[in-house]
Amino acid sequence: MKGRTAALALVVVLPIAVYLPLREQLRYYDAHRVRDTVSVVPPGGVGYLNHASWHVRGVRPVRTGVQVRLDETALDGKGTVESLDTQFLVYDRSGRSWSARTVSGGDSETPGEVSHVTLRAEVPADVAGQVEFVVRYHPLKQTPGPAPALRFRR
Amino acid sequence: MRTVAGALIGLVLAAAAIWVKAHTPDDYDHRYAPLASSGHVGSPVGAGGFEVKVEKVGAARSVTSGQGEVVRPDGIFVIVTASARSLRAPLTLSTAMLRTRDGREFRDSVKGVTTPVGMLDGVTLGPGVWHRGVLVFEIPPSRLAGSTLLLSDRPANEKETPQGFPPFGFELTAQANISLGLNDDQARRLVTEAPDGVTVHGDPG
Repeated sequence: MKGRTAALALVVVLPIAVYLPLREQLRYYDAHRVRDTVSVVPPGGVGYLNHASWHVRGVRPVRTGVQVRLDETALDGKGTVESLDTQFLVYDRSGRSWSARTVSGGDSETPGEVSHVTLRAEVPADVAGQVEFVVRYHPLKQTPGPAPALRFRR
Repeated sequence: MRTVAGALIGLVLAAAAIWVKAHTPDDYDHRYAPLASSGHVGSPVGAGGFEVKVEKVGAARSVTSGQGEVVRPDGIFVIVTASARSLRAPLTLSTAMLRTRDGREFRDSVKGVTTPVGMLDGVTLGPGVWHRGVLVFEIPPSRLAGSTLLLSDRPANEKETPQGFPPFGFELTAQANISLGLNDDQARRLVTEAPDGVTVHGDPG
């Protein structure tokens, strides 16, 4: 009887002893992992992110990938500084992503002033016609939790 | 009978505990060491978020750097031509080492000979797009046989940081271990026939 009680106690206590620390670790991981909260912008539309407005004027295939023409407008003083904390990418339908680098233009330096930016991403030719442009908020000092992002439909 | 069974169970449990303890890495380096995928020259090796293919292995008695300067090694230069691409998301390869048969590791970029093309030079790799580059190592000629190329996206210089190895956020990163496939004879021949003045600047073609 004594042995049975001990075995029963073990059956109850052991799973709890394993589960509780594991649950805490999973919670920590979930709170700290980088994940995007994506807002979809319809073709020709304007998205708002990080104190700036963003408008894609076109995505077209070029010899080595795609070229994106982007209008960026700081909405206030913070937008002129913090728009530096953005990351530009293109995504295909299967979720693969490529980095887009600025080839001309720069950040909007005065609130309300539109900055015309041209970016290029090197992507395989078979996805150049389908990739969509994404702006992610990606500060150097990232706080835990979801990061906002804009995805521009073509 | 029950006592004997209890003792046996106790012994088995104790043996299991000792086995687990013996096989658990007890230092930080080993616990968070890269997760390695192995392969050989000529075949793509997938490691975590990237894929790499070693195309050619050569040796040189001297190389000409991007500035036209002729650089001579104390040992011999090993020049590895490889291509890499990411599999899902943008990625930069940061660390390349040549591990010799006796476990010594040699970093790339020696004597001012940097890796100029598409491999570790800050190039962002993307899915489906192969980037070719060269890696230059300086090693003693006698250690070339049996050596293995190690490539990873873990930042370089990690062993010198006061925070220890690896840097925070780069635990258990993927690493491609590619055997250069050189036995003693092949390594000796490569060293003997190593040319002078190999240019490593620009696309190695």
